Amino acid sequence: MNSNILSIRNLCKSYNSLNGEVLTIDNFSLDVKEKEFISIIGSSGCGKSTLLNIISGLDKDYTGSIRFKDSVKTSYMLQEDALLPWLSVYENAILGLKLEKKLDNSSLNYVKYLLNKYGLNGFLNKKVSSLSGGMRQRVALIRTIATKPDLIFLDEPFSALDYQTRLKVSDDIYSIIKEEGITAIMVTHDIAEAISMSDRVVVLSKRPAKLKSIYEINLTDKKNPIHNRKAKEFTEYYDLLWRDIDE
Amino acid sequence: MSEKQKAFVKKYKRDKVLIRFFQIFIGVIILILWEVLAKCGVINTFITSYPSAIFKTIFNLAKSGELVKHILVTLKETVLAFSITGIISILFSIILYESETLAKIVEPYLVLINSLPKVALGPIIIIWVGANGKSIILMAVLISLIVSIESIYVGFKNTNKSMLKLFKSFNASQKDILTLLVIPSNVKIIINTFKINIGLCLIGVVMGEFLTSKAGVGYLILYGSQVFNLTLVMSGIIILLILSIVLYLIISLIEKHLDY
Repeated sequence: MNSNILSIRNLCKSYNSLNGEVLTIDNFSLDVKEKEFISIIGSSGCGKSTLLNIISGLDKDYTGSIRFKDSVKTSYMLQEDALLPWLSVYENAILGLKLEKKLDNSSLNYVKYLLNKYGLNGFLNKKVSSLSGGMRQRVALIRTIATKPDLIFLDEPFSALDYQTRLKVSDDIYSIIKEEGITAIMVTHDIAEAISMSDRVVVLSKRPAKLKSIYEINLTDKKNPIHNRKAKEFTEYYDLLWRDIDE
Repeated sequence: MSEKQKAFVKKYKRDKVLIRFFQIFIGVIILILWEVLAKCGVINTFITSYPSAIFKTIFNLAKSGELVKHILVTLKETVLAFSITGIISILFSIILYESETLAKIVEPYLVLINSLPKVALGPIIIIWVGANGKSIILMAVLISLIVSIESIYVGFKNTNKSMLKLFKSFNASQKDILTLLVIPSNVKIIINTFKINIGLCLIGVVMGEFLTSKAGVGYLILYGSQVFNLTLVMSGIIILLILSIVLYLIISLIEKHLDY
């Protein structure tokens, strides 16, 4: 029923230095369906973030092909919230629109609607330093989706948060992504996070990163991430993925 | 409040009072000793002068209008040099930030000029620019400029990497990156550099006034030493001290009112 929003074929990436050339991504191919949530996992330093930088267009030094469906708008959410401390919550939320020169009434209303919907209405004119870690991450996500992307890239979006907040925020962000009908590709090293949020999990090998295996995540009574962690298949997947990464 | 807390607060307040007391006490004692020893003839007032004479000289200078005239000349030169340094160093830092290759090429020259004692250029400046106010301002600019460029440029270069990545992910233009990220995130560094600049410019102006001038606080000090009027020299130094504190405080005040 779903068509592909993104096709990656034979993607390779190497770094050049005076000590020689190092291959970091080796022949990576993947199709992503619309409204799908995909996680990419692998051991640390395997090249996950590099892969995401390339797919998102931040890094243009690669070979292979990356094709998006026509008129697909993408957006990127970073590891750190990267909120600008000299701006207010509202000014931070509209920053993406401002930079993409898309400030108009309808887009501003959409940001206000999002801020209101996700419990930030009382903080519009506050400095971002007054927000909690979870709230900051929500502002960062609103900044990302304010430009109405069809596909967003998430680079370890919760890794700067403590465990308790992390669970809560991943729940929040998951529901925002689902409600707005956005396709998501997330890079993470947290296996549990990947299983609880994704439709499919892509496992990368150690350097140079190759596609090792893809797991369809089928949980009984699949809902939000915190709930999904209680599914009976959860531990089986965890075990499977853990072994796969470690090999 | 518990006994322990009370004791803590009491000790904290007592220490604070004690420190402030001794800070003032030492200054007052030096002034009194200086005055008394001078009056008793223990020290030679011809070469050391003494506080009450210095105070009287400053007072007389103020009454005759000379004080305001000299301060205004020095102030005008300092503010001009400070503004020129500020504008050039920000512009130059932007250019270096935009072109990393250029930055690498000019780096050894910046180091070279920075390590040169600028006073040595004094005679050349006077020959090239002339024995006038322009030479004095140029001297002050030369002294503060390179340090100023270095600190602002390093600040620009250390702009938060994730914020930079964020801006690039939204396809931000180079102009937007500069005006919405690099400059605002470096306001603190720019202000701190300006605080140092204002002091350096004052040093440069006084040095320039030593080389060539018809008025100004530096001129006052130089004239005093030439006629062996040490009271005038000391008065000039005290005026300079007050001037530099006031200039520093003005920048600090501006800093406080900036919201970042």
